[in-house]
Amino acid sequence: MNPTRKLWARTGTDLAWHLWLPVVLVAGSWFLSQAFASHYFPPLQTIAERTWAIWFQGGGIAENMLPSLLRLLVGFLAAVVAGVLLGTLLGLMPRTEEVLRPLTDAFRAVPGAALLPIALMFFGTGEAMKIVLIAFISMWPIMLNTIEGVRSVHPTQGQVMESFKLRPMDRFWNVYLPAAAPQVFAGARTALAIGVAVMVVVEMFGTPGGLGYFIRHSQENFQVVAMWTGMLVLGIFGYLLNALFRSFEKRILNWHHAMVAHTQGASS
Amino acid sequence: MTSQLETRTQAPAAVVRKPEARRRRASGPGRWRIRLLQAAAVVGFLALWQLFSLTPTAAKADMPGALESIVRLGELVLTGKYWAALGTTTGSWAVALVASVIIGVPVGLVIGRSRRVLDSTKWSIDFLRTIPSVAFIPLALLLMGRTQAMVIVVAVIPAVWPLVIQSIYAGQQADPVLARVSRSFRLTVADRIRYVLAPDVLAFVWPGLRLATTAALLVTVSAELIGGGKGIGSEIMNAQIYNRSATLYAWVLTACFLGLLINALLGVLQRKLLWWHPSMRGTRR
Repeated sequence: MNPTRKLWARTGTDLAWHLWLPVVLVAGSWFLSQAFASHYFPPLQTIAERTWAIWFQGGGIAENMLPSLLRLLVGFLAAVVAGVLLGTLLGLMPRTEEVLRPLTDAFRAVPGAALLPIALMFFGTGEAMKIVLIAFISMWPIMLNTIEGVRSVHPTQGQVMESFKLRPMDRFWNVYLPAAAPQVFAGARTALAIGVAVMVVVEMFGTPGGLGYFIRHSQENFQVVAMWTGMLVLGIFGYLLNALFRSFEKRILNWHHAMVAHTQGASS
Repeated sequence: MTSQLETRTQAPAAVVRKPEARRRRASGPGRWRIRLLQAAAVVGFLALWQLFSLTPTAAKADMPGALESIVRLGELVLTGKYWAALGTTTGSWAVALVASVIIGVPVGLVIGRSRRVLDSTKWSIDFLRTIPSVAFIPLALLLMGRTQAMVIVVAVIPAVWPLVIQSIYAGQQADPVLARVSRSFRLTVADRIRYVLAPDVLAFVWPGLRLATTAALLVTVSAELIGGGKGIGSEIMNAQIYNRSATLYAWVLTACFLGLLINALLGVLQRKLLWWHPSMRGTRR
């Protein structure tokens, strides 16, 4: 067998190993839910059909998914900007950071949902409340990781910057941000997961529009099938978002992974 | 072997990222000065809160002052209801966490041991763990009603994934030489678990446990907030519905203290259990 065909055969078996369980799971739940359909666990086929009807033909995507996506993006981006800025500042001022640590620890330790009623009282049930809460709660992991990342800059680099008298903005963009990037991304990944969870919770309490609202509303009206379609769409939403973030991270951090591989002895 | 899952948290390195490692342990009077300044920062924050509560913005949002909230907290602490709610939340959280460890660690170890099992489960795990666990709250409410069991079930879902994933790394990285050495020394099963398996697995699973702890607490409170049951979350919701803002803030403070306490506890445990790990060197007094 020539090498190319061997390679194809290997990717083929690899793919088969990856695929069999998801296929079995989907097929299994498809037939099992058909056979043992109950009020709370409707057949998968019904859910799939209703998903098509509600979300694609009925405009559910525009009505409930896009608003969710938009407010998550706005809140998450705000969290990234605020987290990186605050983190860089605190990372460069170790004394201040240590003095403020009881406060940052406390804010990080609050289970985010507990802040929901406070946000409701300040901002009402509208868009502002949702975005502020998403941004505020998902900011902390990014900030804490940025502090760590900025600290990881070698002192010698600091002295070099000092002797070249680099402007603060240049230091931030060319030294601190790249050095902190791997940590920032690790924090942002956690923050994204937290952000999605917070998004769902605030939508369950806020004004109409959004995946969380749809699921909660369906449940309260005992529209079990509609609720399941919402959960299905939310699952796909979460998965795609995560995949998107990962490919973005991979592109940005390519140099870092290459460097790690190099120091671990890989030949390029 | 590098990990197959693209979900890596960078196993033991994550242990380095915890706050204790960067805590510089200044000794003597320097330490006390920092403590004093930290106390001043907290007092300053409370003073700012108090001042802010006097502004029209805060009045419109019915925000109580720091003093009022703390006094209310003091009153609540003396009631049995307070401790019942706190106990319920802590209980739900603890049961959910223990259940996730019991489920997640063995499953992860088994998956990590075999390349084929890992390949087979990878996509399913990757998909399932990205579903936001709060999405299950309405379903759990329909099935189980406003009960503590509902809260626990929903809290297990997000806590189990970081444990599974870190245990997969532990399974992958298990050193075959260690197993051979323990066989040559004819270690008993108990000793093998205590001296070979446990330290190795613990170092990997620990970062997952920290993530699981936070996630479980967040979802416990969320589920109580949305679904009732008894606990901090529902007390917060009740206070909001009946417009008792000082009570509301007192409960939020309680939630914050609970989070801090759990984090502190994990920090202590980490020093006790993982003191030998390279990432912990130089952090002990």
